[in-house]
Amino acid sequence: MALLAYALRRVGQAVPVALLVTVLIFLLIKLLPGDPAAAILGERASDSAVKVLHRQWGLDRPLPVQYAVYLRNLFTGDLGQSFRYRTPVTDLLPRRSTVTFFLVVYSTLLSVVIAIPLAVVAASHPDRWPDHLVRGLITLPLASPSFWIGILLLILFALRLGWFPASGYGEGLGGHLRHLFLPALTLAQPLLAILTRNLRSALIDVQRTTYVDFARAKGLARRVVLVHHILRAALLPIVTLIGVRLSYPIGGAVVVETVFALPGLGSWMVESILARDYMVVQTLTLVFALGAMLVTLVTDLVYPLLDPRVRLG
Amino acid sequence: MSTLAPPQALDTSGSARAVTAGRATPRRLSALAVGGTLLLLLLAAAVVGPLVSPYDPISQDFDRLLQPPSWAHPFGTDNFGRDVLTRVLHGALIDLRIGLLAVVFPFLFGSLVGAIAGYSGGLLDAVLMRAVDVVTAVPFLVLVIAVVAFLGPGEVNVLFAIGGVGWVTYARLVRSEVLREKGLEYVAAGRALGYGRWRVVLGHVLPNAVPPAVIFLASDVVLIILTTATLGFLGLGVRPPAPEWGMMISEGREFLASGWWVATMPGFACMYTGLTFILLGDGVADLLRVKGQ
Amino acid sequence: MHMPRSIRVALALAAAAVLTWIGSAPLSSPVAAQAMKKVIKFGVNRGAENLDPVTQDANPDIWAFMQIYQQLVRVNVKGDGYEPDLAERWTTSPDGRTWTFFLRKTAHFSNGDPVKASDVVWSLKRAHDTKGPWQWALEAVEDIQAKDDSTVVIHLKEAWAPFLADISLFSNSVMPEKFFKSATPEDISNKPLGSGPFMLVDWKKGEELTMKANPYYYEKGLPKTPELRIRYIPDDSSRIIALQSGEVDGIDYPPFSRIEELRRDPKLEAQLNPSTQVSHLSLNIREAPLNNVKFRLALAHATDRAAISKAVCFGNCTPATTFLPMTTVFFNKDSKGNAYDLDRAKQLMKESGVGTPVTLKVMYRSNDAIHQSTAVALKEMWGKLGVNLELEPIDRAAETQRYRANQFQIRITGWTNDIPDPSQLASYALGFTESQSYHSGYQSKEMDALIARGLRETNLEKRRQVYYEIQDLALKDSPLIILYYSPYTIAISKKMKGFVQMATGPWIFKDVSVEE
Repeated sequence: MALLAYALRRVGQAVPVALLVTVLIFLLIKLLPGDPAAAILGERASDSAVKVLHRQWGLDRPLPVQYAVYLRNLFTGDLGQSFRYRTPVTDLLPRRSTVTFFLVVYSTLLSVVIAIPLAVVAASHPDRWPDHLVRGLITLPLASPSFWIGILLLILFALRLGWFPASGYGEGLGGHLRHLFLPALTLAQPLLAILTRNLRSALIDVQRTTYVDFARAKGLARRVVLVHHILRAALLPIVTLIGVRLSYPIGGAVVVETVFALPGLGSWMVESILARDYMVVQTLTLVFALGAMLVTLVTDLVYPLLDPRVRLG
Repeated sequence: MSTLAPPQALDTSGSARAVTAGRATPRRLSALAVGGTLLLLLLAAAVVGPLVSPYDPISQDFDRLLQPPSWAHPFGTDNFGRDVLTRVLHGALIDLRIGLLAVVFPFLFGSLVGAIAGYSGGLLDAVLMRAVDVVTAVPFLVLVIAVVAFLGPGEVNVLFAIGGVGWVTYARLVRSEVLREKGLEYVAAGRALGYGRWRVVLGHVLPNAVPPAVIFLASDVVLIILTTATLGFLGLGVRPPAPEWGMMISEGREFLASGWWVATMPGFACMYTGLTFILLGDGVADLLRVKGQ
Repeated sequence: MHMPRSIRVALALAAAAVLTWIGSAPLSSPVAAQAMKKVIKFGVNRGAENLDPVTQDANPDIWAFMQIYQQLVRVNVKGDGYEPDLAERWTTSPDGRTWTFFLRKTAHFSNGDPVKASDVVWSLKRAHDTKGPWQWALEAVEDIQAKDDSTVVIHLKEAWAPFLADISLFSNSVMPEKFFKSATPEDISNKPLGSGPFMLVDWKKGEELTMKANPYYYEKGLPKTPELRIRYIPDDSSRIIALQSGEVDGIDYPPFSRIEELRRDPKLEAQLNPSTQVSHLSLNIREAPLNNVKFRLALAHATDRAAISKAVCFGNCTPATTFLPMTTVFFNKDSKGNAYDLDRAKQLMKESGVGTPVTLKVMYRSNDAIHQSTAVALKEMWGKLGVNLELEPIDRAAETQRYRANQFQIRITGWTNDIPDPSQLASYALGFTESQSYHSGYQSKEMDALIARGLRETNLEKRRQVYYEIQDLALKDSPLIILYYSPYTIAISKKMKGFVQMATGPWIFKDVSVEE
């Protein structure tokens, strides 16, 4: 099947890309000024103490050797140790990943669920007051920094109303859903606005074309027209944007994770870069790279399913 | 589904418009008109404001810390006694500059890459898209921290980092649209009629593929201004004491309780700018759409 | 085109249903029947990373493991004296070179093992031999021996004035030899085992640290509350909201700008605890124009410390005079410091011969709002002298590297005394050997001699005179410019009783109880 062959080809292409990314990040992080040993021991540490740690962590060997060691360990499943926490990265990764994954999926779902009705309303009355209202409603949070929205939501819903907890990840599925609702809502803002506007634009577009009029003329029920033709055609840019968003779990999530004190990958990544926790940065980058490529692949595979006119390269 | 293709590209005589005559085109321009007006007002304020204001955006007044809005200070003063309105006005130019400069390159470069990839297909598409994958894989924050660590903090370096990463979304958006357009019969028809490849791409495919990118661009400008706020939140932003809105919001969030105006006023400015660009983006996209028909 | 009413209604109902379901899930709440809470929840702005007393160097780590470990001798809360901890009493030989500590026999580690002199010897030898940031604390020690199970004898190279302060340092915590002898550094850092009131039960790195009462703790009836959770909430506003909503019972480091507001909250108590902290500017005096002492003094006199305190601490800090934190022993209360005097500054500027305008760069940690405010204020102030100050916010690791490599002109930084004795700071900041005088390059024979005397002079009054001279000389030579002393900020619920923070920083939780 053509789709399967394409998918396999892409998976094959993913390997050199992933390797290239690891090399890039390895070099980038090593070239950054700043020494993890000094960062951890503190600025008052003696030079000899710093050297001891360098030897312990293998940082005194030439770069190509270090990279080779890294690759070799990678293939045996050893992702290295976090300098900061003196714990294997593999011990710290599962919980952090779950938190971020949960958050990102939750927020994407919220964006989609809220965007569709908003876009439909706006597209049904283009340039009249419902359209302007929707546009205004989504612009306000879009144009506000996420940490601000987060704090305002916290003040309103956690403090004043007490409906949601103020921080942390919680226990159990119900607990997670409660703890993550406000952060997910905050994270959903930009995507929500972009989705609404793109969907609205696509809906207006498709509405205007003659095949819709023809279909209506043929007497198809309005509902059928709506679902089958319009949404399907408009979903292409939507899927792209969702794909882009899902492959950027760090960017938007850092702020939200910090404001809501969530132990996720985004804030971990930033903290690790700042502390020059090399192994963590390399592992996380690899995880993100693979994740991003996976999401891209899935969206690329979904295109032809949504619109048979699209042919895969 | 029927094989009828939307008669957008081939029919340039306006018959498509005739079909949709019910929706009057002048209404479409209203988004452009309103957005344009707002932008002009913004530019006027950004240029005239600093000239007219009696205050300096940087000089401190330790006797007037965190004063609420008043006739003397319509937007109040901040934690250094600086007039917030003056800072917001000065910041307008800075943020407009950052927002626009940081989208122009990504939009142009990304759209071009996406169009080429989508239209060519095959090996070129694969290579370009894998390059996109690599760029996507480098976490934006790693890049920004690296740029700031190597080159120091400041506006230019932030632009550098944002531009280096931002083109990817445009590439993907345009590529997906081009893939869709490619499959439409008007393209094949055009080729059959002898239109050159480039004419088809530039004249018909691109204008139809670009609207989603333009719409995203409008949001992107705003997102970039907010990114500088986030970078400020993480300590990586524009060099203080520059009155950049994002930094002002980030620095002012500590005072949400004792001096809400310090963060909120630049926040309103962001919202105003956001609305401006969104309307402009919608207007331009509509124009492109009409033109392509 | 119109969205059918039925669809709209359905969507609205669905949304309402989801929100209701989510919002009605029961909040985890403490059992209402008890009078006192069983868990203390404390929110902090930095998470602990390494709980090994010998190798860590960050307050969050120290203040956390201080609930778990004990030392021979403990600094008192005010920070000006010492109390027995694991040692019931101690004696000094007449020549001051031999100290004998008598351990209490009731102390036990949380695994039930008694604390023996051999444990003390092992722990102190490890602290002495390991190349870490605290080796200096035992530099005067020649030998440590266990005379019997509850007597430890320490021989010093010479009589050492600050020895009691040094031995009370948290890096000299007593750890169980049997348990840790063959442990890896990772285990020592991740699985602390001490004799203090609490023991570590669970540690979700970067999230929450959970401790429970040490069943073998020697003080009967303590800790008052059997469980302590330290939760990492990095954002200041979120941490305050967590306190206000009751999710945590207390927090550290609320920003100075919020203290007024927290004071006015009837349910909360805002604390400004005296600290051993001093904020200052490190200068690199190796090159022009900072190698010119009159120029440095001009800058010092052009610094309006009261204004900085207002802008940065909202008036909650004290403008500094000498380089010692004001809670330190032998702090010279009568010193005027290099006080703000713009005319004098301009005069000194002229005398220095440094031409204006002159550009200086100030480096500081980029995510620190306080340092940033300080830099912005200084830029304005020094501008009046014709000095153009350029701000260089840099991320932490890069900043540390440049500091250690002496690649800076001015650096905004601060110091917290870990012991209630001026010797630690004097040696580090003004003595060349340890750190090239705070990396300034300042090397003065006179100063080095004074510092050496200060470490060895055992007569209290004579020692005071030495440190007064050190303070005056530091002001005269001005290799650093002192800014202000800032208290620790804490905010707790009024229901929390018995919370204490030591002047050197660590919290004491064993006496804390929280009402329901």
